Parts: sequence; structure tokens; C-alpha cells
Amino acid sequence: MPSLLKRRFMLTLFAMVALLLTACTQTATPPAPPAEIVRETVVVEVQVTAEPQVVETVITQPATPGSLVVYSGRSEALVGPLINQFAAASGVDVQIRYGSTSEMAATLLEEGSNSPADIFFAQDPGGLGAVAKAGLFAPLPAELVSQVPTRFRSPEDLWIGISGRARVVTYNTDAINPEELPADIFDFTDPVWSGRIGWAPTNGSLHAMITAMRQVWGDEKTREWLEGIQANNPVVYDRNTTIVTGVAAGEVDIGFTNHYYLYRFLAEQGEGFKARNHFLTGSGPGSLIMVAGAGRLASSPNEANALRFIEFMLSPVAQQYFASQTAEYPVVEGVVGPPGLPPLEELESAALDIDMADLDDLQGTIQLMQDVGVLP
Amino acid sequence: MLVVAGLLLPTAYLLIRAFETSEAALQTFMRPRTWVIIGNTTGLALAVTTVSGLIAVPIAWLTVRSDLPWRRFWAVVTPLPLVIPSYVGAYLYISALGPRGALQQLLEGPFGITRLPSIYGFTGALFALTLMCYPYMLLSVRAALMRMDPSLEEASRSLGHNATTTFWRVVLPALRPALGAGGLLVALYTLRDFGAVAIMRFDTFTRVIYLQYSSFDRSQAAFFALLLIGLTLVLVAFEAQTRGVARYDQASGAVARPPTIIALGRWRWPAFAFCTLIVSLSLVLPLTILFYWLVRGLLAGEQMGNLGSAVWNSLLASGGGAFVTVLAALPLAVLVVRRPGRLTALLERMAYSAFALPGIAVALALVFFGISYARGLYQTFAMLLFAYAILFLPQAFGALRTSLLQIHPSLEESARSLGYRPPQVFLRVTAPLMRPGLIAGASLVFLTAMKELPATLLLAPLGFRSLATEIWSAVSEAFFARAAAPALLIVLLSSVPMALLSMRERRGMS
Amino acid sequence: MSQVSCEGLSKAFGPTYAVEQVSMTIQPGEILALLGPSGCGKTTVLRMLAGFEAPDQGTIALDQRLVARPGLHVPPEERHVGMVFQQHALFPHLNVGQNVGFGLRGKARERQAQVQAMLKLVELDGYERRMPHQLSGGQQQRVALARALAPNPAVLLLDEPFSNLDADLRTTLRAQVRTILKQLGTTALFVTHDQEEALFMGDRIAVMHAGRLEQLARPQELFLAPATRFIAEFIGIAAFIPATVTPAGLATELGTVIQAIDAPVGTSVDMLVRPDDLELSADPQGNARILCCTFRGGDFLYDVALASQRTLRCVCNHVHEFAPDTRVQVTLAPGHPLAWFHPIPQSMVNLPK
Repeated sequence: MPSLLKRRFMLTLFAMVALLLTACTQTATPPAPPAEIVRETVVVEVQVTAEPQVVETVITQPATPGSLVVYSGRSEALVGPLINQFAAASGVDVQIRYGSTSEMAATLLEEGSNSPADIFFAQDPGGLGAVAKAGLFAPLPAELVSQVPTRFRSPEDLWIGISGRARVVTYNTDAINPEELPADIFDFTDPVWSGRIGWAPTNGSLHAMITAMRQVWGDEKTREWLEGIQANNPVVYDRNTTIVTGVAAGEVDIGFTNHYYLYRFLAEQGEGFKARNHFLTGSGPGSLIMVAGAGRLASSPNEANALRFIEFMLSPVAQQYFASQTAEYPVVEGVVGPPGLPPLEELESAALDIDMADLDDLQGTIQLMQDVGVLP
Repeated sequence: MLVVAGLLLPTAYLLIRAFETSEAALQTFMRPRTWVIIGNTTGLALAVTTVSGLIAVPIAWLTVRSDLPWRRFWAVVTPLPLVIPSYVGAYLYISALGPRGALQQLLEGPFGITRLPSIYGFTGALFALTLMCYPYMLLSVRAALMRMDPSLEEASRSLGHNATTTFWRVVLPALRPALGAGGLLVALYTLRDFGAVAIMRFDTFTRVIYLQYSSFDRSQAAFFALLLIGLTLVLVAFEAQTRGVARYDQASGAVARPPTIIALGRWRWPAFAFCTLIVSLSLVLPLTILFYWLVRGLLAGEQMGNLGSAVWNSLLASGGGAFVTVLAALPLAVLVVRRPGRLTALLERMAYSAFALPGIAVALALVFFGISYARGLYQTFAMLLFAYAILFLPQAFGALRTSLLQIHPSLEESARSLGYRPPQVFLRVTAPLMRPGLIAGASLVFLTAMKELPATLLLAPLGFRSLATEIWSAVSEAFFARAAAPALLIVLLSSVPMALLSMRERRGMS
Repeated sequence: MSQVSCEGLSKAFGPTYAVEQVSMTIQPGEILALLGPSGCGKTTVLRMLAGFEAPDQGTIALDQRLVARPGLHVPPEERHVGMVFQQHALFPHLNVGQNVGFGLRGKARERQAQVQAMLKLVELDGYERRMPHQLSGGQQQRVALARALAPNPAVLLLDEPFSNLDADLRTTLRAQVRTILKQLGTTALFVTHDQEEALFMGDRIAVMHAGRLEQLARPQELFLAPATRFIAEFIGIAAFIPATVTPAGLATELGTVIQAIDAPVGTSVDMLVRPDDLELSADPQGNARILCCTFRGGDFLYDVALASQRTLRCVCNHVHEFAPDTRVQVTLAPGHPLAWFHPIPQSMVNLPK
């Protein structure tokens, strides 16, 4: 077992000429028992120097790679290619169930200790917290969790952040001059924003942000903010993507959303898409960084592979993948951030130190939102 | 018995979960806002059902009984909107008809219209759900119309009533069981729909339930889901009430003549226009936008990926689901129709109870029972089919019951007297006569299973990819171009069996 | 009381004629039975009269009012024609009273009175609130009759109304229906394939065969002087024996029949012989042999074989009883002129049917 677990990571960065979006090349070396070594290469654009670069990670492939079951609350479009890379490189037979984070969490809670899952890969800390609270996660080894800042992981090391998303204000480029946008999200309670705001009160990310508000501001000020926004007759959307399309179509001038949806619209519809992101650089929970993360189920029969999976997700290749392909913030130090976005440190100073683990009081948040009349 | 046990699973599960709930659920329940939402939900369900009927009855009549131009084409095309998943459909309507959607952009140039009236809220939800649900009523009404004894209408005509009065006084009342069964499906679909109301921003009961799930409070969610079951039972009882004392089986076993075709005269082209309008709104418009997305995505260099296995899985699961569901619904329908009584009435209501539940609640119930009591089957293909059977049983059941009601028991009795055992009688007499109902039931389940999501996501074998999961995966992350291809494939694949079925239907008639 | 007449009615479904050149008149107050084997087109004639089908050629007039001719089609609801269907066709969603009142216009009270009167007429008073499925077949058909009669139709069309009922019920019901129709003086067309029913119900009988009207006559006339070989065989028991026209009469195997017919001497014809046209007597040297015997209550019906191997049937009163194989003498004693037909050409006889 320990010999199988032994693996070597290698990271190289070198200049790359071709402007390919994604291309995987795999070279299998001749078998060298007890473990054969496969070099897994992922090509990603790292636009820090405006020159695309290649990040490489080497993974060992054990003689009997075994299998792994992942419940993913993150969608296949986002993490599928990355998980496939892991499967191909490690030889592990990875089986994935995709669903929404809340659906997956509820399934895990129902399955309890009988769950066939090894890994829960969730979109937000709330889902991880709910499963952790039910005692279904096993603690992760210190060598893994130490790679990630404390506030991006569970205090009991039950789960760990893998990538980060920032809350932003998306604005319509025809209606808004970004200079005029406030730096603090509280200022959107000003009546000048009446009828111009779009938000998605049922969305998990907004719940996380409001939970953060309660942490930073306290319940009173959060209630004040909710009431202020509500008084401005915000247009209600069902999810973040519809907010972004609504903003671009000019239905509303600004929307509270996550930063990374915008880039997909820009990729699909071109630069003519009339929405851009505004990062709230003033102090406050408005520019909260939320992590997507993973935990290992205590009932997991494939402990070794589960840990290898998480380790891979923290590897430079995976971290660079998030930065370059899904425009998310890497959580491991030393990886180049998403192109064209303000660096994490800049937002961090603004967002204060909000501990992800403190964002699991969702029921309190929902209660508050219902009291204010924002939620049904 | 197995069927009944299966039907009771979701309710049992919800009861177990709801017992864990705290004061909080009661508090939420007591809020006036909750009652407003219950009112909203009921109102929407009734409105969608009514408008669906107003669309479905004329189309059914036109395609079965009139000399409408392109009658067969319409017969094939009009039930198709059923295959558009509501989470995609409502989104498509927003992008087309939203205040600043495609229509507005078309109008802005020539007319300078910068903003259309909002379609969000009740109007939008009604609009989107009606256009996606009316086929439920259409299919059941069509099946009934085809089985109707034409001498009823002739009797009315000979008693001095013209075609119009005859329609109102004879045809429509005779369609009541079909309207009831179809209407019930529409109403229940509306009750449980989440996608369309969420996108149209109309607060209904399912949103409350989903909200509880998204804050990981399964107990409160279960509590509200039970309320939804209550609401469903009220609706089912209401439907049973409207069915009244009449029995609609044919007065004798003689084979009914095929329906006579009525010439529309000067109404021919207005009727044609009506069908065109409905199909444009419910099918052409969404498909056009899907094509637009697809082309835009392809031009932007989007990779489409390989959908082969997804297509195969979708066909296999939906086809299997349709088969299993009809098989499960048959004994229930036979029991309810042939042995009416208090117990069977209760059975019938149970059949509907799961249908109005949000898919997630049913799926979780099966997770709960599957993992504890059927480990070997858990997350297998068989389990998925079982889930479909529970979810979609009422769809098949309604269609089967309607067609069974029109078959006089004496036919079966005469077959018994000719020396056939009940199963043989069923195969050789009842089933062939029920064919329109069987076809309608199976195709309904097939089309719905094709787009089903929560159960497919949670209960399918690991790594199972269907067209619906592909769409979900793409739409949830705003990859519209990637959603377009599988969505178009769903419509395409569903229209092939629909077309075949319609042709068979017609052969059976002549 | 109205008169119904049709002239040269034809109707084709696809390439074949269902009805071809049918002309007839139903006199006011008359019950005309339209008789024929199934598929002969009789129901199509009825449906054209009712207005459910439009004739391809020909005209239909109700009381001199033209309701159908090429280019004119008065819809059923404006013809004032009542109809009783084989399947009863009671509206399943309406109770008995509502069914009967369905075709009535006018004030509620008047309608109610008429419904009551009709139900009384068919002896179903008190059944007003029953639903159709709670009634027996005979009761359903009586409701259907009451419903059709309630608006006082100019003519009542009955489409095999008793064919779904059992024999006993059929006999009592047809007597009841005939009494009611005669009591009201209703003009009626009664379609049936059952000759006994037609003979009982019809003042006159119209016989249809393969889309054509072959004869319209009083029952006795049909029996004694059938216009066609088909009618002769279709109504009653019939046998044909060949005969040759001689100056003395018609020479047959059974002797010469004294009857003058409009055919030259030497012509071969077929004589229609019915069982009661023959007499049997015991005779060891007789010209025939008993094949079998059916006791019919009032008399015996014997099948006898002649020397020519031809088989005839004859009636004998119940006093005489002959055992099979007994030799008997068969004599022709019709007491009325016999119907005759030109023989079917030999080539057609041999054709398989």
C-alpha cells in the first residue's frame, strides 16, 4: 500500500508557441514495476506574460490502479475534462455522478454510511458543511490540507477548498460607467439603484455571501442591507447565468453574481456581449471569495485513490486548469491567476478574512431572507 | 402489489423525514406568505390546465375529425412540445420574448421599440407551462376522440342539433374522462414544475421545497412536500368528482365505425392558422433559438463532443421506462376500472400522489430505500427504470384508464366464455382494443422520461450520460451552444417514434 | 305524417357502388321495412335519408321538400328525421330524462311534459333519473325510441334496432314498437336483415340486394310473386324445378301444371316451388323418397328426393308421419299461379359461388 501511494510530482513551466486552447498528450513509458510512471501534460494559457505556457505534472500509475467514485456537485462542463485527465494519467477507473451540489449533498445524507461514493466534490462550502456536520467525512492528512490557506478549508480538516470564485457586480456596458460603481456592496441600498438591480435570491452563492455578511456585519446590518435592496425593487432571477444574460440584454443595469460566468458568454458571443464584471474593492463581504472543494467520505472503500484525487486537484496542472479554463482562482500558492482578473490578494484585503467553514449556517440565512420577504 | 408498494415509497419516505422536523417548519407554514404561495400555485395549476384544454381540444378535434389541411402533419407535430424540457423551454422563451429578447431586437429597428412588456411572473409561467403541457391533454383527448362511437353525434344531429351544439352537448361531455385525465396531468405537472417557474420568477410551492433542499434541510423540505401531496389528493378527488356518475363504455361490443371527417368549409384556413400559431410558439420558436445557439457556438469554435452514447442511453432508458411504466400501470388500471370500490379509489389516488412531487423528493426517497433495502439494485439501470415507473405511472395510468373505460366488460366476458383464460383474454381482446391508450400512455412516458432530470442524475448507474444530463450540465453553466445539440437531438429522437405512432394510429382507424 | 321519397339514389364508396339507383316512396303513416342481407346497402340508404351521407346521384324529398340532390345537402339537424340506432347511442353523460328531452326545444315545462309522455308511451315512467348504464338492453332501446319520437319527427328511421337484444325480448319489443308507431301514425323506415322481423314490422317491404332495390311490395306479394330469383330464395323456403312450356301448361318432373305464362312454347323455365305447394301421399310406387323429417309443431317439414335426385321440401300436417326412406308420391297442388324464372345459363351454374 505505501509503495503504491508513493508518488512524485514534478512541475515545469516553459514557453509554448502554439495557441491551442486545450490539448492533451500522453506518453506511456515501458512498464517498470512496481509502479509505472506516466507523464501527464496539460497545455494551458497562462497569460501572465501574454505568452501561452505549459504546466506539467507527473503522476505515477500503480500496477493495480483500482477505482474511485466521485459525486460531483460541480458540473461536467467545468470539471469533466480535468477529472478525465486524472483518470487517464493515474489509470484509476473514475466513475462520476454529476448533479447540483444540494442534490448531491442530500443524496449523500440519505445514503449515510452505505454510500458508494469516495469523494464529494462540491460547488460551495455549504454543501460540504452539511455533509461534514452529518459526520460523513473522514479527516484529510495534514500534508494535503497544509497546501491550502486555513480559511479555505474545514477547521477539522474534513474538507478542503480547491478553487475560488469571487462575488462581483456585473454591469451593462451601455448603461454604466464602471467608475461610478460603488466600491462597497452596501451602497447599492441607495435609492438611485431602484429598479436597476438584478439578483437571484434562491442561488446558493448569494446565500453564501449573505452568510458572510452576517459574519462580518452582524445580522442587524445584513437585514438592513436586505431590506434596502428589497426596497429598490430588484428584478429576481433564478440563477447567476440568467442575471448575466439579463444584464447584457439591458433588462437591469447591474446584477449580483459570481465572476466567472461572464467569460463563457464572452467566449461564446464575442466581445460585443454587453456585460462586464466590477470587483468590489472596498472593504466588505461584497467581494467574497467562495471556494469549491472536496472531502473524502469516511465510508469510502478507496481511500488511497480518494487522496490521490484530492492531491491531483491541488497539483499545478489542476490549479492552472481552473485559472485558465474556468477563470477561477487557484487556492494553492504559486499558480498564475486567471487572466485579466484582479489578483486574489487584492480582493482578499477587501473581503477580509472570511473563513469558509463559517459559511455553513445557511438555515439562519434563509430564515433571515424569509423574514425580510426576499424568499418565499 | 409491488406497484402499490413502489407508489407508497415516496410518501413513506417523506413521512419519515417530516417527523424529524422542528418548530421551524410549522413557523414557516404559518406565515401568511406561505398561504399566498399555495394560492399562487393552485391558481397557476388551474390556469395552465384551462388554457391547455382550450388549445388541446380544438387541435385534437381538428386532427381527428376535420379536413384540416396537412392533418397528419399536425397530428405528428402538435404533441411534440412535450419533449422540450421546461428548464430549457422557459429559458428559450425568455431569450425570445423577454423585455429585451430576440423579438424586441427584431422590432427595435423598424418600430423603435426598446422594451417589451415583461413576461415574467404569472403571465410568463402560464405561457411557458401551457405551451409545454398542452400535449398531455391533446394526446388523451385524441385517443378518446378516435374511440368515440360516431352514432352518438348522429343521434344528436338527428334530434335537431347542428354540429356546433352537438360538439358542446355531446362530444365535449363524452370527452370528460379524457379531459379529466389529461387535465390532471397538466395540473400536477404544473404543481411539481420547478424549471419554468424558477426562470419565469413566479413563486410556487416547489420553490419553497427546493429552497429547503438547497439549505440542506431535508426535514422541512419533506414537510412541505407532504403538503404538496395533500394538494395533489385534493386535485385528484376533484377530478374524480367531475367524472361524475356517468359511465362511458360503449353500449355494446360492436366495433365502432371510424370517425367521420367533417368538412370545415370556410373555417379550414383559420383552423390551419390556429395550428400554425400554436406550433410556431410551442415548437418552432424554441427550436429556432436552439439552432441559433448551436450555430453561434459552432462559429465561435465550440466543441460539440460525442453524443453517441448519450443518445443510446436516452433511447434505452426512456424506451425501457415507457415499457415498464405501462406494464406497471396496466394491472392498476384494470383493477380501478373493472373493480370499482373504495379500496381501488384509494389506489388510484396513490398513483397520482408521487406525480406532483418535485423529482428530487421522489429520487431521494428511492435513494433512501434503495441503499437500505436493495443494495444490489442501487444505482443500476433497473433502479432507474423503477424510478421512472413511479414518477410517470399516472401518465400511463390516465391514458389506460380512459381507453379501458370505453371497452365494455361484455367483450372480455364473451372471450372468457369462448374458453380463454383471463391473461389470454387480456392479450387477445382487451389489449388490442386499448391500443390507442397504450400508445398514448407509452409515448407520454417516453417523451417525459427523455427529459427527466433529478432521478436520472441521482439513480442512474455511475457515469450514465443521457441527452438530458448533457443539457443540464451545459445549461447550468451557461454553455448554451453545448446545450443546443442535445436539446435538438431530444426533439428529433422523440419525433421519430411519435411519427411512427401516429401513422399506426391512423392505420388502426381505417 | 309525412311522405318520404327518393329517386335514383346512388352512393359509391371508392370504386364500388354501395347503393345504386334506388327509388322508393314511403307513404304517410306507413312502416316500410328495408330488408336485405348485410352489406346490401340498406344502412347506407337510411343514412342518406337521415343526412349522414350525401348521395352521389339522385334526390331525396321529405313531404315534397327536396333535402338532397347533387349540390344540395340539408344537414341532418334540419331534416326533422328521428333515428334509432343499433347501439342505442344513448348519451352516457345524461340521464334517461335528459336523453329523451335532448331534441326538444321550447319551455322547460313543455319539454318536461313531453318527456313524461314519451316515457309513459314506452312504459318507462319513473326511470327519468336513471343513467343509461343502469338500464337493461331492452330498456335502453325503448329510451332510444322515446328520444327519437319526442320531437315528433316527420319520419322515424330505425337501424336494426333489435339486433342486439335476445330473441324473446326482440319479439315483445317489436310488437310494442309497432303498436306505438301505429298509435302515433308515424311514417317509419325500418332496416333489418331478419325477414321474419321485416314481415312482422313492415306494411310493405323493400328488398335490397347488392346495392339495388329488387322489389318493393306487400309481404304476401313478395312471398307469392317474388320479382327475382334472389328474393324467392331469400324469403321463405324455396326450390326450383325445371319446366318446359307446352300448349297444355308447364311440363315438369311432377306432372303438368295448368298455368299460362308469357313465354313461347318450348321455352325452358324454372318454377318456384315452396313446401306448401306440394302434397305428399304414401305410395310404394311413388315418385320420391323421404330423406329426413323436421317436426315443426303444427306440421312436418320433409326433405324428399325425386327420381332426378333433385331435393324438395314439403309441408305435411302432423297427422301423417313418414319414416325416412319411405317411398311417397309428390304432387304439385299450389292453388295459385307459381312464380317462374328463366333458368340460369349452364355456364353460370357451374361457376363456384
